[in-house]
Amino acid sequence: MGLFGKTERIKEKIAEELSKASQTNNGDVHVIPTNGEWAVRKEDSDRAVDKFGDKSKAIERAENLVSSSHSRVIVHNYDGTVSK
Amino acid sequence: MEGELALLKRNIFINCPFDEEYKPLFRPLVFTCIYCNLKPLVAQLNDSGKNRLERIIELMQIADFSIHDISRMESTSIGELARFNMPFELGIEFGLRQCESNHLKHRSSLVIDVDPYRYKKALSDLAGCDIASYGKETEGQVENLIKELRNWFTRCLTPPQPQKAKIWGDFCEFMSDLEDKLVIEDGIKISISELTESEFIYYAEIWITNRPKK
Repeated sequence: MGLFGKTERIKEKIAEELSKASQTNNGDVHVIPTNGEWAVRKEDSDRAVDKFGDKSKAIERAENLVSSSHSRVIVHNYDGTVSK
Repeated sequence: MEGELALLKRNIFINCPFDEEYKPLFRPLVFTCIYCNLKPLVAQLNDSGKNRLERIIELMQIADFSIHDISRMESTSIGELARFNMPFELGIEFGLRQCESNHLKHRSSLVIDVDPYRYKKALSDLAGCDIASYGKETEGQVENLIKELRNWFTRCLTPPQPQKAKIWGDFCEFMSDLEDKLVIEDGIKISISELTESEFIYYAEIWITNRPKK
């Protein structure tokens, strides 16, 4: 049915939270499949900090770049979704 | 004047499959359009009571650009039928161009497929048109799609569009933000795959519009 089938209030709340998130840099570091490699990219950055052929090495590098306890390493799948 | 026009948000008609299997491609497709300052128009968005075909024609007539994904022209398993909606809608647009206003006649269209050559056998009348392919392999398919769209927009839009790596990286950030924020009540979350196409477009527009400009 989708979310619009529920309430406008929920839809607007999510939109508001998403708007805040788009303006906030939590210091998260993303590991993104790029051109057959794994790119390590800081949030809100224009380019990758580093690239690795090996995914685990990219994750290790990302963990070293995380700046605070509130920040996360986020690993992405080939379709951009977050890997569980 | 051209510079001023380039800043206005323009409409792009999206002709593609609307099903679960296509969602991993639909998401980056519309995200890239919005990122490049275009407003995606999809037939599913409107519930005006008109029949679907009338609605499609109406949307085509207000679009400045269009994208047609004809990748479903081939069935992939025994007993499965090929889907003809997309080539059919592409044909409608060609037909409209022949008899409509100058606005429509000058519209830019991009046809996309997983393979760069098979249309020559299945839809040979398209020979000479712009066709872009994004590949059959899941690995790299989304990146290829973003690259092809971005390159096409760079040819038809001013100012120059952001690099593929920037769009792809920001798309990934958006996906993680969206997943974090899809809370419908006290800690109950839904997944991105549960969103309709129109909901996904709505949230992508919110995120892209509100992010700090560099």
